[in-house]
Amino acid sequence: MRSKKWFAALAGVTLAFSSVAADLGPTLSKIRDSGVMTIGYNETSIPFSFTGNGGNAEGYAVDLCRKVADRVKSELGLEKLQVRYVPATSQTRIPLLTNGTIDIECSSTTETLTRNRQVDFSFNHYITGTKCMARKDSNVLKVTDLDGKTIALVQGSTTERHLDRIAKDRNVNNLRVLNIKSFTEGLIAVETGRADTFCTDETLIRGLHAKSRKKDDIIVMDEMLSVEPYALMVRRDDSEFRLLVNKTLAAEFRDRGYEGIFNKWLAPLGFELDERTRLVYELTAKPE
Amino acid sequence: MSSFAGNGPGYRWDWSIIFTEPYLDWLYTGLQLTLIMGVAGFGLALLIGVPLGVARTSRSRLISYVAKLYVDVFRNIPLLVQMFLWFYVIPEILPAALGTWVKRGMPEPELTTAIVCLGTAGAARVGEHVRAAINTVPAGLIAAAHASGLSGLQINRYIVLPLATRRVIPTLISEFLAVFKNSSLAMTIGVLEITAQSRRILDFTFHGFEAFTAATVLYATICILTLMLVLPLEKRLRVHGLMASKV
Repeated sequence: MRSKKWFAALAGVTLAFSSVAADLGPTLSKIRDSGVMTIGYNETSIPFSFTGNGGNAEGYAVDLCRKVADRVKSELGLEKLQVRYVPATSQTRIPLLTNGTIDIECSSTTETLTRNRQVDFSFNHYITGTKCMARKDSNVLKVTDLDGKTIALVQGSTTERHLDRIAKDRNVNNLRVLNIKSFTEGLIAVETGRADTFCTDETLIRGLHAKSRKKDDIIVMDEMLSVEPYALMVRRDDSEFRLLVNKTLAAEFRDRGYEGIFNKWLAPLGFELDERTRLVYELTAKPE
Repeated sequence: MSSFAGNGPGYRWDWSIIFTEPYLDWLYTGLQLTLIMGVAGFGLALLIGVPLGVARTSRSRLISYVAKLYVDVFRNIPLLVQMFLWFYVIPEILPAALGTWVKRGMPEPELTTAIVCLGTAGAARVGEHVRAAINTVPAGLIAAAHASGLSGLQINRYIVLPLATRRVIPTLISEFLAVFKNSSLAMTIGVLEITAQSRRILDFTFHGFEAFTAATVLYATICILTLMLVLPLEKRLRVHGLMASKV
């Protein structure tokens, strides 16, 4: 009788344990088995994700991913977890993520519903919007002034689709688009007069404007043209891992407060902790 | 981590993406631009390249030297660098008003710049093919023509030109295909041709593999079709007795 009870208890424990293991999902199982977690980062997306002077991955989003790694380690009860950093560009991030080379992408990637068919996104860790810089001599102060002007846009960026819609909504008909590949090219286009204005995420516009050689001839327009919610990117259909990432973000913003990380990375560049940004942080800081 | 592909969700293929609007339309306009650049760029290459090749065989030292200089310059700078030079550097060296016109005033500045770049670079290669074709006309044939009392102009008109033309056409067709494929570099200066549109689809949808496969198929189809059309022509142009019977 006694041994039967023992056996039942043992079976129960075994069952419970195996069900825990099965619930880990592919990413966490892989990390548990290999003892390695790989973080994908962008080398040029300052201040969110970049290669620092020492050659290491740094930035706002990278810091958040380090917290994710800490949590993975403690939740899996690992004694040691090796964290690797792999550079990923906007061209390589999808193959690297889907083929398992990187487990999470930490950068300034905007969450969109179309992209969501291929990957999953964490809660939003920051929100920005599209802003434009313009040559003073082009007399562009607001969107409706853009009629007949040339506007530089990064190919494939989320800005591109917002601008299409905004132009239609506000009857800006003669808009010539100059397609560029990188953010620096946008600045050069405005500096050299190839384009009247260049629009992209405010986070980047500020940085570019600050380092422009012709800073005094260029203004940053006040109008915010769109909403760009940033999120960390994980493989699709892996709820367990995504939940862990979300729990990390929520705990970080809720328990430790978001001012710390904001002041470390964004405040020095002149970003303001405005009402909208606070709201995003508070939405992400969901209760346990 | 190749073992991972087996137990994870992996890449989610969705071929329908390339047949969905607006992406299908993007590929279509991309194809149009690629074809325009291929045809116009090659046209320009012929326009400059043929006289260039003839100049290379000129007996005047000066003319052949200038032609050689052109060929050396354009063949020894990587095409991508030439693209950047035409787009970023040239307009800044030009007088301000002309520079502004190149950047803003002329029709389709990026497309036009790309065509000029592809054409001038292609001309150097076309020139070399033309020169080679002229040089393959056997010296004995020309000596015989002289002996029969033909003038220099007549020799060129009736002996050298017909033979060289037949000789050069197959190589020019491969040059056309080279210009056509090189046009993908125009994406670096903002021409939304096939390759650029594929990247745009990748950024919008994250379905890059499908988009690049579509681009590959488009390039390959056009090249293969061109070859299918011109191979019979090549056969008909062959001069019996003067060229190897197998191409």
